[in-house]
Amino acid sequence: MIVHCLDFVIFLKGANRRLCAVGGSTVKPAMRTAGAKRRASKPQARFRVSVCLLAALLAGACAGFARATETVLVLYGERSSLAAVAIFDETFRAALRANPSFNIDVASEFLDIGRDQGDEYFELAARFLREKYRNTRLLAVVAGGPMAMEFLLQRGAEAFPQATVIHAYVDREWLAGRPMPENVIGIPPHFDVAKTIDVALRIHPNARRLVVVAGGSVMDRHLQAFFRRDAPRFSGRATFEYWDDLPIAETLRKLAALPADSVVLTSSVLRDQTGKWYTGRESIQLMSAVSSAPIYGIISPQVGYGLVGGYMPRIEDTGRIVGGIVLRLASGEKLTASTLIETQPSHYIFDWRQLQRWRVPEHRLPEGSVVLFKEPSLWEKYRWQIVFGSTLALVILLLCVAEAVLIARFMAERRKRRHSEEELRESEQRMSLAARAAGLGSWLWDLRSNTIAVSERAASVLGVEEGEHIGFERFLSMVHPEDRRSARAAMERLRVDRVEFDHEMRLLRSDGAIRWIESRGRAEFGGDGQPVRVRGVAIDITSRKEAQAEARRHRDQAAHLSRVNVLGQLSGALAHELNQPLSAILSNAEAAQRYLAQGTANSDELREILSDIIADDQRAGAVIDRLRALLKRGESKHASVSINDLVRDIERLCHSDLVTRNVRLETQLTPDLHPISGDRVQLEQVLLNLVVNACDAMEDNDPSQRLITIRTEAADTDNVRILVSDRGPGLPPGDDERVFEPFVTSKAKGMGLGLSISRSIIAAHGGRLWAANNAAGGATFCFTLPVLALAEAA
Amino acid sequence: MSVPPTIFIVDDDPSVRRSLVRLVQSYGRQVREFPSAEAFLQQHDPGQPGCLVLDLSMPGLDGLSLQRELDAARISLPIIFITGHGTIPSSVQAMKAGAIDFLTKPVGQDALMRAIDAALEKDRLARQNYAEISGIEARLATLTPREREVLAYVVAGKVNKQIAASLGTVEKTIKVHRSRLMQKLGITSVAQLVKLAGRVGIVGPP
Repeated sequence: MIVHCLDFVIFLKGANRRLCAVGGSTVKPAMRTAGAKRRASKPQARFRVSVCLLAALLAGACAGFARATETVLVLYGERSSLAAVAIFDETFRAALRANPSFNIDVASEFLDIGRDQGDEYFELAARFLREKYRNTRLLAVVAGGPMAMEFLLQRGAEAFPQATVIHAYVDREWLAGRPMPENVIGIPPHFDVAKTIDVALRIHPNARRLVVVAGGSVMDRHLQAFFRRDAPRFSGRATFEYWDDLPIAETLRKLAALPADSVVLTSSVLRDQTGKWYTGRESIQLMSAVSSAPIYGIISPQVGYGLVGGYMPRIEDTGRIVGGIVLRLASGEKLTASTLIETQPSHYIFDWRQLQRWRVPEHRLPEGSVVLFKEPSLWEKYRWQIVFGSTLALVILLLCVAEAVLIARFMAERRKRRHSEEELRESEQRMSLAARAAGLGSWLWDLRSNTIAVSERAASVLGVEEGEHIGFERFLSMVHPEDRRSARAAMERLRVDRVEFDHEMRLLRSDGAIRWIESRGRAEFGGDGQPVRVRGVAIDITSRKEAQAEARRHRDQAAHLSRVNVLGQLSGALAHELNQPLSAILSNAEAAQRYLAQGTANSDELREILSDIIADDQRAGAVIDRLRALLKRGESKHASVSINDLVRDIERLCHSDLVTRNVRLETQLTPDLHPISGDRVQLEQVLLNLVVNACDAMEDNDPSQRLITIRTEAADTDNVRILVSDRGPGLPPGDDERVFEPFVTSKAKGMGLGLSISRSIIAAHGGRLWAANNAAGGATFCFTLPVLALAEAA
Repeated sequence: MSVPPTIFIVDDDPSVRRSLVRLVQSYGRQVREFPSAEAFLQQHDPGQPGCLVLDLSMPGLDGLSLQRELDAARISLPIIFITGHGTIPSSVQAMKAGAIDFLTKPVGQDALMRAIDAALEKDRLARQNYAEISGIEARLATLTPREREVLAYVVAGKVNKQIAASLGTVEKTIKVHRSRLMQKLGITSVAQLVKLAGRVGIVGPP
């Protein structure tokens, strides 16, 4: 509030001065204002006091209304590529958005310390930040991580004079080791690594050897010290071994050779002994892929990337906590180091997939553990299918019942002349009772009056009265506009073709809600053989549709992840693919510069150079476009696709990788194949996956025996087929189906998901993917896809 | 040197190759380009001084294989490797096998021309050395077997009397051999003789 006050004084003084200047007066503004009150002995002072009061009042009054934008600067000590940064940023912003009455802008800066820069770097950074934010109203500066905090302690006063500093994810021990000025506040996490060690030993009661792996960066060493500190408490239960700052290759080799009674503990490996930098996720992924012992840790973003779990503060919590502190500051609360004394809570967090990998029963986990990435149980996974299946069975049963009732009714009608109508009424009542019990609505479409009467249940879905006769057109108006045409067509067809009716459509209710219904009906005929009415049932399938959409989203996500994974394996080759045109552009431009400088430039030569540069630029652009398409996350979109084009695209994409790996790719494309309907990106992914697998399979072959053949052909009139053959060792006997199971892999670095996701992609396209060994050695992966005309009709 | 050196550029990517040719030509250098390692091997004349700017990864025979082939054929043309994405093992292998430099694309002109200058200098010295040694060997070939024997003893620092004893003859005969071989080799002092023999590796009697 004091800061606000000062600002207002300056602001008002400035405004006053400008007003006077406009008035053309030469009198000093303060004097002139004071001139009105000549009785005052110190008019200038009086003015300032009154303005100050006014400002205080104004500032107070403004507190409840819209505010000027204030900025919070988040200063990260590390690189922006760390996952922790993204997670913090997201949760922090979300916490700020939770209170929209404040207009807070978030700025981020990445100091990228930790590469052992000296004082000079700190000084330059401080000067840069001071200049950049000189005219920004900084509500607070957030120190993202210990390295940023170190910087602010050393240079904060210089870079951001008087700013409140909030530390984020700077642990208690780190803070305790340094003198903290009063303007540094925050709720620090605490790395209670003893709990992680303890839980690892509880989960693996036979473990005797604990290996602590850490990298060589300042952060790595800081976190690793916690393990050294707490290890002696467990000396009776296991022996500790420390692998500090080894080259990553050596760490990986040693991890792969660990005996069964080992457990690995790690804080982070951000830099290895050779000086190469990793993100925490990268190093844990590498380690987990080869480790023959489970890995426990304390850094929450690593969960999901190979860590089994541990007791750890969550960065998501840090984001929320810091967001809360910023909002409290924004509302004018005065916070100091002595008013904030809590510690950020930690949690037991585990990765379900890793628990499966190491066969850890869930009951060994401590109470209140958070288990992430859990694959739902059969019931959880197929709940909707089961519900729907049983409902469908009921519907079919009821249709049979309905049919029986219809026959009964028909017979009853004939009997009507002879018997009472009691029986009929009773059977109708029975049917409506059964229909109600199954959540079925029934309807009757009278073709002569062209009106539809509905049962109670159906009436409530449609939002009309039970028994009300709804005109056909009015009914159609209740159908979702996008489904109206097909609904009309289906119903009209029923009248003409006299076939049974089975149609799914969306109803748009007057309250805007959308319900999916499935409706089935059958025509009834008059004496002249013409249909007179259609009788049917309808069931609300909205939840099934939502479950299907959810399943599709999951599949898309999994497909995206796997795509990113396989592209990661190609990254070296893709860099090459980009570097080629970039290299040509650079050399061409340099040559042109020299010709111009020497005065030997001739315009033909220059024109040629420029057109080469443009062509190479387009070539680089095309590489990036292809990559972007594959990296894009999104719903699958179907369009007409030529499978030969698909193969050619993959050939281009893999070109460099194939050259580097000394693999030849031959294609045998049958011309003029029918196009198929599919998601181009996902199909490319399947093909890419198969090609990469084929390359991997032939790794140990002599270069002359590294050949992939891709063949396209018509499987039959309705399907096309793509075959990818290699000359590798082939599939182990009996494993031609097992390779499609998730997490089954023969590669050290693979996740074992590529083929299972490929299969689900092909299945979603209405095709089939399988594998077989070739008679002459090697394996062939083959998939079929239905051609377009057929897919459209389906 | 009478023949100007040529920079041989081998890269399978036509646009990269063309741009490198232009750049090197803009420095007034003589350039020849080849689309593959095989094409280079077929057309290369070992007598032509110069150096090789070689792409590491190419279909068919790749850069490292070409380096091995040249080495096997005892063609000591200095090589500068360029690569789109160098792996540590391949660069180590290339440098161990005597490459001048290992440049990563995009290659800047300064780095490239520095490497080319170093390579040409190395090639020039190697050729000069080779020419000198060939000259000496040609002259040595004119000696009789007896004169060669005497030469070896002289180089080892023996006086005529000792040589005569070792070879079972008289001092006078040795003197004749000695003056004749000095004459054939076109030198006038023992110091010159020792130096010349050192160049071709003769240090004493076998």
